[in-house]
Amino acid sequence: MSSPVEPSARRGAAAWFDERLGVSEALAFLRHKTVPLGGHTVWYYFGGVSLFLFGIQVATGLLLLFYYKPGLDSSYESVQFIVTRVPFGWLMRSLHSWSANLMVFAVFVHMFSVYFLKAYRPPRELTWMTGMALLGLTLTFGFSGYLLPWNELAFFATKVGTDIAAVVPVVGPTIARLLRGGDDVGGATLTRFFGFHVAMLPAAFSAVLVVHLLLIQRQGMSDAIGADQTPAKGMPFFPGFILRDAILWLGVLAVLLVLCTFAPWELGTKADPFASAPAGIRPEWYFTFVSQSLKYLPAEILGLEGEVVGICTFLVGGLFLLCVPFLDRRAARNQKSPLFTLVGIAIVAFMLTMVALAYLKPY
Amino acid sequence: MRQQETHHGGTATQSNPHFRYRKASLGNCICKGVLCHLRLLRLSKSLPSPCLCAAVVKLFLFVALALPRLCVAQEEQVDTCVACHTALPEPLNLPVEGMKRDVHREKGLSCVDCHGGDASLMDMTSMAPEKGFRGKPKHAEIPDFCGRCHADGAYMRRFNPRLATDQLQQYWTSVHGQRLKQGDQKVATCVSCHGVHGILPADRAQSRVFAANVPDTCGHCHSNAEYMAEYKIPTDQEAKYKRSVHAEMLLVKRDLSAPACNDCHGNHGAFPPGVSSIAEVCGQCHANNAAFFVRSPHKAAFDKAGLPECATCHSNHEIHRASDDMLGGQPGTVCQRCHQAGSAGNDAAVTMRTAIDRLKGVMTITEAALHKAAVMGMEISEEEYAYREQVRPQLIKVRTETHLANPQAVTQAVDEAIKAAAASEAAATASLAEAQARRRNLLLPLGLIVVLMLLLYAKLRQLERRS
Amino acid sequence: MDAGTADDVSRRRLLDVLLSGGMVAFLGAVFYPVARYLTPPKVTEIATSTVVAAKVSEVKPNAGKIFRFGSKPGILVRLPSGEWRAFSAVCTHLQCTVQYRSDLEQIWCPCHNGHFDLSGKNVSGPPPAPLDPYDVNVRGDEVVVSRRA
Repeated sequence: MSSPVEPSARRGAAAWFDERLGVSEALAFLRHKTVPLGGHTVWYYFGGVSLFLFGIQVATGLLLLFYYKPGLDSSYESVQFIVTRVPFGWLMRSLHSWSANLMVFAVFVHMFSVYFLKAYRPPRELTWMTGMALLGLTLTFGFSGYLLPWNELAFFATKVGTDIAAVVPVVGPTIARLLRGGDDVGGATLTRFFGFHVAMLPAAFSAVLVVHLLLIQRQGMSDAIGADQTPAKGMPFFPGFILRDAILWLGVLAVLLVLCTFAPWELGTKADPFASAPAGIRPEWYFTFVSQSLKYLPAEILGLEGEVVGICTFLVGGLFLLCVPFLDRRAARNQKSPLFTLVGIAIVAFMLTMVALAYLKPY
Repeated sequence: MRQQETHHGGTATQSNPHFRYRKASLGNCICKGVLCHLRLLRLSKSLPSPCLCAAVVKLFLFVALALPRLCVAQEEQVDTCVACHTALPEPLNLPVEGMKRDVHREKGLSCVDCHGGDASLMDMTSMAPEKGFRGKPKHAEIPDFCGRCHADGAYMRRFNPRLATDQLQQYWTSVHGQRLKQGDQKVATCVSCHGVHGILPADRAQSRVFAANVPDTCGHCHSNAEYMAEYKIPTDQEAKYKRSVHAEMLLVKRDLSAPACNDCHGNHGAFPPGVSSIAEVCGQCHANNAAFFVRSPHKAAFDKAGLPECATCHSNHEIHRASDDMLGGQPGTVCQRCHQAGSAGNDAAVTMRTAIDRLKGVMTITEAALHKAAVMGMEISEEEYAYREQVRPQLIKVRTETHLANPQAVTQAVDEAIKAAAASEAAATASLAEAQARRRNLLLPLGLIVVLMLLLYAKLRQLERRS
Repeated sequence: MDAGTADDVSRRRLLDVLLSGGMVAFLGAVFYPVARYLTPPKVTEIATSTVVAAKVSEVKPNAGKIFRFGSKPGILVRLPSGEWRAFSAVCTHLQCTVQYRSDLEQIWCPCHNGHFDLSGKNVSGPPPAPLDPYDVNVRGDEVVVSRRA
């Protein structure tokens, strides 16, 4: 795009940078990249939305770091300070909380849309697996970040969550101890969740994200199975897809702003480790499909503890999803794979039902 | 010398529990034990065991049960009272059962310390008057019976120097004590409230005189209409008390500082408080209310009319949480019971009530504003703190001040409170305004975003048309 | 397609101008709150474990002052000897706010006539437990109260 600035001067500056960074090479590459056009195009945007929301998280998270103080006596109070005393602090905090939830949602939609479009088939197995890693990291971001305001709901949600982690056979109790920083959720948990959330996870996420994005750029976007796509029929990545991305991202930002203004994130009451849990506590919505389904399991199944069977089923399910590029032979041959589609539908239906039950029938 | 130390009569060896039975031997045991029981059998007319078979069975049982306890090595101590009475049928074994949880037993005292006698002897001579046996005291003798130790400061010092020793003296000043002296056999004595075998200190929850158990203990007689018929006093005090706020605090919330019967009537010197000293009694806890009342014109007026000060308006046993509805000039209030409509007193009551209602109105508005701000997502914990600490106490203060019966003072206090409430309300309104402002200010960035989206779309169309 | 008519060019220029302007405005709308956010507010710290309860000149010997500590009131007492003490002002009976009585040289709760001595111990009346003590330090002309570790 041209700008109102004096053309010669601009070309001079751009040329100076281009000489050193090779920007025009990257731009040329982008111009040739295409996105498949068709009925499924709309799903292709969710990866970008997830990325945008991650950007919001990084920005608002950085800002919150300026005032947040982790600690039993300061976590809650510093968040209260941010929300009441710091100009626009309420906005940054609500943005961070809402964007977190929207990001988890977007990542799930992105994952499932890729799954149903079978875009994981060769040669995109690594893209899929890095994507699954990103999903896991996103959920871990959510789990660790939720505790940081140190309010009642967060405290008990973390308790429930770490208790579920402890159910994993063999390594469960160790994992729970590693998470909690001890035997109970307390100050130690807060400190290490903070470390996870602002240092370890951002580093890991960024590294995996770079690989994920590089793979996508290198391999291009996948077509739907059986689609007849020639590059000419595809939408050029630049400017078509990028501009559409930008418009969509602006729309998402607008939605976020409305949410933050009309439904600001609650502060809650400060956590009291000695108080009894409020009735019907549950983890955040994106974990409820696990916690709610565990509630329905009987105490014993085939001689094993019910919860253990449940957790193992979820682990197996996760493993299945992770390895689906290698399991779906029909998709690998570029054939329709209705069995895997059905399995996917079943998984989505199950998760939605459990989340709905968690909110409609929490007891 | 030991004889002087003790109060049980008999010889020193009998009375001191640590110097008892050196001479017990096996043959001695069996012989004396069997003899004892045979003597009892002879007295069996007074025992509920008429037939010989039963007697033989009892003899067998005695041998089987009591013998192991009796047959001990030379130096061990055997309290024959306990040993014998354990094996006897009801009601004679009840004292031993009861004494299993008893503060006197914990201190090392036993039967002879109160009843006298000789606990080393296996036969009925243990209960001979020569051995100092006092037996079961008559009803009228009980206070002195207990008072022999409990009114002796020097003796009680050995066991609990902090325990008061004026109970007996207090008791004689009470209604119970006075009536007992006049020959009334039905009034309470020490054992009526404290029990007799199985006495526990008042700070133990199982004790009959533990704070939360006192209403039931007093009510045992005082709520028994049949028993109390001749005294012509009400028997609904316990029932009424249990409906009161004091009972809710004591019995439900387990706040042991809440008053039970003894806190207002006295413990051992139990007597209904005089009508002109009721404010002092209530004022033990409700200090400000009592202080205001005493300075008010009601004090002199009530005392002159023989009205029971605080209880006139608040009742004595069935004291409920005071409500603002008690104050005012219309029927249903306590004021209009004496102050007719149009009188100065009635006007004063109406003025005070109106002032309080005004304050409550302002507080309701403030609370609504705070709630609205909270619902809109504003963080108002600081404003709520200020309201809680500065405004709510003003309402309590104003309500307390009504006891002065001075409408000017109340109106002034209300005006101050309204100022504080106004400050709180301003803070709440500011918070609400901020919430509204945020929503309004949202339009600008939203509009900007929409415009930008349209522009980008236009650019997109343009670029796509070109290529 | 060729570059288009002069009309097209001017429309393109307009769009570009508008777009650039819009983006600048957008960036401004983003960076304004961020800049305000990063500017330190007047009250720079949250008073969680430490608070300035009063100025030294505010509280004379044999006097007390109620101050806010977190979400609960605290009471600062200056003894007749000049020494400072501080406690939680929440009465341990039914959570009324206590006050200092210079005539009694004791801390008193007006609700049910509870008395606490100057070390916070409940000495008379319904309160079942002492007041929580705080640490007091004088920093210049400020009296700083902090929670006991």
